[in-house]
Amino acid sequence: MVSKITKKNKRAQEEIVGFAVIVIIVSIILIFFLVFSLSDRAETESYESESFLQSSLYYTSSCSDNGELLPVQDLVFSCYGEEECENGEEACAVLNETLKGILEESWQVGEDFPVKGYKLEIFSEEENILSIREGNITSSSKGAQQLLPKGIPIRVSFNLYY
Amino acid sequence: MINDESGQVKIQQMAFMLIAVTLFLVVAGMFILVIRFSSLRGTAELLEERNALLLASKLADSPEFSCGNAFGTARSNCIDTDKVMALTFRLQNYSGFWGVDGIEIRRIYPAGTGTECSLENYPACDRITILDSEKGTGVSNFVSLCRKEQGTFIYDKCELGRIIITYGD
Repeated sequence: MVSKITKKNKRAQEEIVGFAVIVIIVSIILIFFLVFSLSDRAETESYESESFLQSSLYYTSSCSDNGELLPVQDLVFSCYGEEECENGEEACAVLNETLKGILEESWQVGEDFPVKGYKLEIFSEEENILSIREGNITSSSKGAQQLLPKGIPIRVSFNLYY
Repeated sequence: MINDESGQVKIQQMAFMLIAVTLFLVVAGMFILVIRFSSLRGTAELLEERNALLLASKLADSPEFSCGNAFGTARSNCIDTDKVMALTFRLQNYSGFWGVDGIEIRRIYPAGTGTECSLENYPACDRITILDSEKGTGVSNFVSLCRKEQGTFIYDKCELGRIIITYGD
């Protein structure tokens, strides 16, 4: 009688272990699935950000060199080389002021707006040349990157946070 | 009799186990489907946004608006405002040409007061209305607004703006 009950208990235990194994396998599959789907959504490209970045780089700044007003993308290289404009202003100061002005007029950020914040970064391989941030940096973002077409590889990245 | 009963119990146990496993798999499957469909909706929204922005870019890059090679190399999303101002005097020849209800070009930076452009005030103005429309869906995209400026010599001046397209009712 006792051995019959023990046998029954053992079989019940085996079934529970089987069920637990199935639960664990399915849970692992779910976790993998979640990780992949979340990492896909973390940062996506945005065509609007791309157009914004491209148009901003063509903007004619107030900094002149050899009597010629420099577009923002050339000003980035002047800033990288720590050069000065003809009027004595530092190229980096003009670049910072111009990009801040462009960003403030182009994007409304805050809790009441769809865009909660933005970040614009300009960096070369070895250093960060400029960084402008405004608002909240959330986990959901859309952005664009552009490599400037000159000898030194300088990358401009712009992200909007929702 | 005893064997029959224990057999029934075993069948019951098996049935409960199968129901539990099926329920668990159904719940897990539903969870996966919900995540899949939510990302599909996101992709659809992204495609819709992209299509709308591409329509704006397509018009900005059309020969009537685009900078072409007038400002160095060919650029995308660049509007030659001198060309557009000249175009505004020949709009009667372009009736229905673009297939949209409204086209407006606005300067964003440097910010202005929203003054409509005319021959008298250009380039000290902020808005060029090519086709006027107050109804319909509006889409817009960032563009460079470039023109030739005369100082001690002629130079290129590019500002930041938006092209706003209105279509449908």
